[in-house]
Amino acid sequence: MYFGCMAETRKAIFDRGNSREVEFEQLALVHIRALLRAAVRLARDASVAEDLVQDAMLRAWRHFDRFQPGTNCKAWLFRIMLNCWTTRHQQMRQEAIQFFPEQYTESAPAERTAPTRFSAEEIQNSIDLLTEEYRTALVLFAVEGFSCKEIAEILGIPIGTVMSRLSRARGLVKNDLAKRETRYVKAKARL
Amino acid sequence: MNCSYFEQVTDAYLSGEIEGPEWRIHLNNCADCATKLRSESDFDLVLKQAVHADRLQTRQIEAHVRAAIRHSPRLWTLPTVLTLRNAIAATVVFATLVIASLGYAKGRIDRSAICVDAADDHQEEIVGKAPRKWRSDVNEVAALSQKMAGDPSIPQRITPAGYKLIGARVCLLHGKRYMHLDYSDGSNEISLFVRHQDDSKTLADRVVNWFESNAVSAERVESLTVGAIQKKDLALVLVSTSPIPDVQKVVAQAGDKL
Repeated sequence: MYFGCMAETRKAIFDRGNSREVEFEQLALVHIRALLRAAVRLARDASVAEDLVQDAMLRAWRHFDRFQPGTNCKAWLFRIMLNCWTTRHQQMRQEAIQFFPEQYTESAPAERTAPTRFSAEEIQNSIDLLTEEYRTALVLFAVEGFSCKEIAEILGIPIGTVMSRLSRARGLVKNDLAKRETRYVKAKARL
Repeated sequence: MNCSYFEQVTDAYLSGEIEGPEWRIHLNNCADCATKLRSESDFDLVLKQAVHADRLQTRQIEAHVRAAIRHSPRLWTLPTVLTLRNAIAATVVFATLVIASLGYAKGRIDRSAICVDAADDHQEEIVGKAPRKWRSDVNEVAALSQKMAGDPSIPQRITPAGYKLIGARVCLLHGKRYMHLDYSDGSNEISLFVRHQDDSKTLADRVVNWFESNAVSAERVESLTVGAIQKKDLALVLVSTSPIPDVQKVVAQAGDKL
């Protein structure tokens, strides 16, 4: 009787294990592209981004029991990925924070419609020039469509900080694109 | 720009407040704010399109993650781990039961041995009037009580009704030092043995105490009755010629006064 029950328990656990795999594939694996997209912007290196996403997905699988069904799985995955990134690149992150702000003059955001004449690569370059904090907030908001509240939860920072980072990041990208346009116009005039 | 809301458009857009009814009404009536909002929205769209333009290949990562999931299922899903977990739980329960049983058995044996020694001591020293040095001075008894039980007033406090303290001395019961108190009601003498158990409480003592704390036990040892109680880290043993119910009553009363 007891061993019969044991066998049933094992089967139930195996079935549950399989169903969890299916659940993970349906809830988590569908966000792999979004994660990779953000990871590429975050890491600014495709192979590093791929490793990062892979690590994040495996960590998510290991801790899938902690995920509460009905909550935002995409936000949960992004939180895990950003934690992975922080862990792996703490040193690099510090250097980036110190280095990249110098590439921008922190003037007020340009009051103009963002030009669309730029190539995707140029716009990506502008985003990549941002510091990691600004870049992350901007990608999560503008590219992945998270709200400020969700970004605050993912990054573990106050909403006010998210708002200010977003505002600053958008201003810096607009400013950089405006400079590029000026250079483009000048170059064209010389021709 | 005359609109007072104009400067707030970007913040409202970022925070999501722009979706609210107040802003919707305003945007329907204010061309400047509507244009600014469109500009912000278009800007994000440009960013989104630019980032989405990346040709990302996720197939390889997906395959790798799927393979890793299948080849390294979480530990708790493994039947061997399940079996191991059950085995560990069963072993812990079994070991606990064995230790508790052994401890209880040893504790009971120790207690019986103490009762037999107490009866022998009473027989030899009270009934047989063996020449021993007894302390009969109240202050000396109090000092001895302080040393043995941590409280100088115990000998007076636990004096049974109708009895008077005759003397006190130290004796050994089953290898442990007890304070032997001799009481008399004029015709009968009884012995009360008291010991503070904090100093050398064995596992067996703890197990028995856990089962029998505050419970009065009594047994016959030849022509004597020996009763015992464990209370507040004090062990009390009474030896008398009275029947078991009477001894249990006196022990319980003494226990209440501890």
